[in-house]
Amino acid sequence: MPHLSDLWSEIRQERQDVVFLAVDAGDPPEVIREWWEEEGFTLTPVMQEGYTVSEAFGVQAYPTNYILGPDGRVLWRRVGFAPGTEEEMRKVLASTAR
Amino acid sequence: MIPFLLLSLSLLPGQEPEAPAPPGLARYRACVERFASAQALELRGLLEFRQSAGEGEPKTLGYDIDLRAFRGPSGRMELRAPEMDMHLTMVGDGENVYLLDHEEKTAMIFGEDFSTLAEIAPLDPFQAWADDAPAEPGEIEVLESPPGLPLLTGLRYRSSDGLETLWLAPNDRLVAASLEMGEDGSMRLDLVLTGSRILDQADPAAFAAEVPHDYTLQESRDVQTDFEAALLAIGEKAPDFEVRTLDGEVITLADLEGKTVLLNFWFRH
Repeated sequence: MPHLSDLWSEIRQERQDVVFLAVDAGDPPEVIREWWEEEGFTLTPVMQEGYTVSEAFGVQAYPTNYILGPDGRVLWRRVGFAPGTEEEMRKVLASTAR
Repeated sequence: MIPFLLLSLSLLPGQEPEAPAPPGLARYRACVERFASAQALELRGLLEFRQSAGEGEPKTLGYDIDLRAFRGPSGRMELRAPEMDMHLTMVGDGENVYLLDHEEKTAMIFGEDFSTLAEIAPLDPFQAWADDAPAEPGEIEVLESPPGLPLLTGLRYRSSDGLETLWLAPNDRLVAASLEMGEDGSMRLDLVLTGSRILDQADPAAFAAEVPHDYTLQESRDVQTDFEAALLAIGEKAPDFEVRTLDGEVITLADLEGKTVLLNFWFRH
């Protein structure tokens, strides 16, 4: 989350056409709020009904990241956050810059 | 000679070791504490991992080992101990349990029978370990060493700085495991066991060269690949979805049309 938050802090300066959503799976809102306040994360935490969104996206392990293009198609996805994941994200995000 | 190093039933609660804890001890203790409250899942299977002793091709080994696996209420469990930089996610699929270590960026697969988990975990076998362990990291005392006996069922192995290895008797019980892989391909596999005897200190070269006696090489699966196979395909149209901000604002994918959307699926507890 810290990496993603930093990435978002950077990207949002340059891109009005990019949205980051941190889709929580199963935490109570107060837990999310507390963590966000503690850490000062910049990206938006959102909640899903049950695990509906996780399931619709086939997510079985956390974290999993997706990047969807402007047409709603999957551009990239990755399970886990390894060294290099952030760099991949940057490249994919850059590919949709107009 | 102490035949059962890791399991001691006569410990006093709150007893702290005087000597510096061996590397990873705090991690193990935290693992056991968290595991004690986990829902157990009866599984039999293999411990599979890739290992590299630093030279040559990484090898994939499979051990048919007594191993504990865990399953949370929704088929997964998260273990967090921020003060120890521990963040693990375990996901069970009814056959295997997948353990992702978010701090170490590693993953492993295992399955097993762990019917006695709840009885073992609260005993904190690591206290005995801490008390008996040599103060210097990497120096594991050789307590018993019957050369040539085919007793190996597990190991504790560190390939980066120094080496610690346990050769274990067949009836040992594993209560926790962690696997770290370095970017250079080095691996550290830590197994926490009860009823264990340290039989010998392994020579890393010998370990790397062959599958231990009585064990056969098993097919291994790449956990990353398995999980990614379940995801939407590249190029696939994402289904519309509805999420809600903490303030109750509803966001759908349709609302975001024309935008590039990064979705980070996560959970805290």
